[in-house]
Amino acid sequence: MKTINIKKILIDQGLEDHEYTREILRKLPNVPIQMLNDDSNQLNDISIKDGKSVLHISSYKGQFCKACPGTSIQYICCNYQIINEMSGCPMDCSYCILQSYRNTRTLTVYVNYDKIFSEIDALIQSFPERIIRIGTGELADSMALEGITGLSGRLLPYFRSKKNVFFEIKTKTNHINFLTKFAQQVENVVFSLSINPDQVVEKYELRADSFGARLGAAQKAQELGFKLAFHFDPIIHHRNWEENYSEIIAQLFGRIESQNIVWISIGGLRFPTELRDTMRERFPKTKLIRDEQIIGHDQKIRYFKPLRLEMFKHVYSQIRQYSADVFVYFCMESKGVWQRTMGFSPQSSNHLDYLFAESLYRRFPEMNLTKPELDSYLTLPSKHNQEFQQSM
Amino acid sequence: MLIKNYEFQNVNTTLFSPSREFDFNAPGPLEKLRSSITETGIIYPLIALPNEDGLVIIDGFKRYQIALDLRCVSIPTMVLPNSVNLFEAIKLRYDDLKYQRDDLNILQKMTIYQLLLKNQAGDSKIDWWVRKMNLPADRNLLSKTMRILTWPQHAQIYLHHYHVSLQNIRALLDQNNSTITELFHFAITLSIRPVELNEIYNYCNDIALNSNKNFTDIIRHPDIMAILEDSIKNRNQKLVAIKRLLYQWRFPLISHYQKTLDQKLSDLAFPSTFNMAYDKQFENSELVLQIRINNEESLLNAIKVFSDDKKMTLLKSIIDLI
Repeated sequence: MKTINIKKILIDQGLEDHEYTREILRKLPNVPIQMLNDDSNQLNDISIKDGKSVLHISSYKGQFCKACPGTSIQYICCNYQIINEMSGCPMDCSYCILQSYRNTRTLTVYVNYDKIFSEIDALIQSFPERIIRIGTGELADSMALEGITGLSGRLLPYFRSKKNVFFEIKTKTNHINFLTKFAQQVENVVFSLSINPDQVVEKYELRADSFGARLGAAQKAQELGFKLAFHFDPIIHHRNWEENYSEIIAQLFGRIESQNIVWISIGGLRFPTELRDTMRERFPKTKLIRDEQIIGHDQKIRYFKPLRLEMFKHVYSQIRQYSADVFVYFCMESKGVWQRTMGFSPQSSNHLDYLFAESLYRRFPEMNLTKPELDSYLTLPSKHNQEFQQSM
Repeated sequence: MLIKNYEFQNVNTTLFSPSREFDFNAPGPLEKLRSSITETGIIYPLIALPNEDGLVIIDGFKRYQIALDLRCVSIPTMVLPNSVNLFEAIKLRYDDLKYQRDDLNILQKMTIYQLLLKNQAGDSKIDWWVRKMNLPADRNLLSKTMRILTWPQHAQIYLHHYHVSLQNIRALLDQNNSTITELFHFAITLSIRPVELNEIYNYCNDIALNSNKNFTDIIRHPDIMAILEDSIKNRNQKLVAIKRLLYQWRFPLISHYQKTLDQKLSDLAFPSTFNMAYDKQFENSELVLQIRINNEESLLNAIKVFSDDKKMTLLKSIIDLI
């Protein structure tokens, strides 16, 4: 990733002497600091662009860990759990959902991150028999700011001892130096990359690392003993897309052993309608909003289904050419798309959750995971599952 | 202070006028005002400020409009001296006299915004105006919006006539004057309302960007020109035909599927009360089967179709196609 240039630090009143604040400030000498009052509206005046060089040190009032917001109306989710350990991103992907959130324009770090541990403990206790997939990278890139925050490095040791839990750190960068000290020690940590061909990266993933750099990072993580995941998400329709996606899949399996890949996701470009206006304003000539798209059941704009199917079938078949048993899933897609791309469909979000668990249990016997029982997964209390079934 | 009879037809006076059109013939105070002016002329002079383009009417817009309507050659006007503070005059007009933000169109709001900037009114006064008129707080956007003041006259007349809001023209602010000229010429030719114009603009712009062509290439495409010149079609028919054409260019794949679908349904001889299509507003990504059951016959048709296994299988195959 291009060098991060923090031009200003904002600190919420009362956090200036916090140990974590001081630690961050030591890494950013000479950067102007400004204290924020409770009633300060200053954050609202920061533009998306400017916010990418403003670090805001705050404390998080809500719950750090929650179910992935996903989408439940007629689309299947996977019951993934997310940790919002930070918010905001120094990269500038044209399609990024964070552009629609006013409160994530700065790079916000929360000093009270240690609440995460008790929240995850509670989650694990609630579902002792379930294989839980949980990850950072929802409202921030897990590693883009690692050199300043050191947060992923703080979370990793906690997960080491957690049975039946896979902790995923997602990034579009090659910032993996901190992983070195955990080499061969964390079998349940998944180093995960969102990938796209360089033709897409150059146009739409501004300031993110190239595909080659990301793959290099994945290979290094593999050497260090980490499990890996890849997200073909968002797949973007562009000139020569078939050739370009084939090429990166070939490169991926040329350098990564498929037995080290825990899962691969596929998802088409999708975004809320309000983001279309933001994209039109920030990137007036972008093609991302000018393809053949429709508004889906979840009110998100997505490619017209025949176009999605064409792209998904291509990417899926390419992956299967290299690996017959790596777990491949769709993020937020309908039963019809599953069926017509993969030849089967999970029956519900809970069923997909079970299929994940079954694959992980079968493929990684050395981890002594609890054997998943279909019935117990199908009856898990899950927001997505309930909403999905009601919408069908 | 000097009160003069001004020949307003030679003076630009519309800048500060509410763009709402008053019906002076409707019963009520306006009708009385009209009768009074008809009988005795304008008793109380208008109040105006001189500016580089002519006069800025501060007070007396209704009298002014009635006088124009009655073809008055000149109107008594009290012209305030140049020393009167522009901001105070604006404040008098729009604050003290309780004019509301909806009384002005975007052209008028931006004209005053520009005047305040030129007169170096200061941030607090400019902010007052921005808040009062519900303009965006973003100064960069406002500065971009000022471009509308340099748009060709026919475009400005359109903005004024349709009381256009910023929302409706926001997408146009980055366009050059030749695109604006073409677009508003087109809009005026077909009396297209702002919301429709926005939709047509977005289609044309998307098509142009997708095909690496100019906006003008799209709007002056021979197929569109042929529709415009079609003497048989009326205005509405022309507009529908143009929108359909633009839609097909903008969404060729979706249009293709819609056409295929129509053909298949027609082949299956479904009752006319059945309509299967993608929602034109793209509200659903899935196929929408609309069945109108208006009477006993259409109800019987529906029952017949849904109890016919062969037809249901064919129906399912169509759904699977999409």
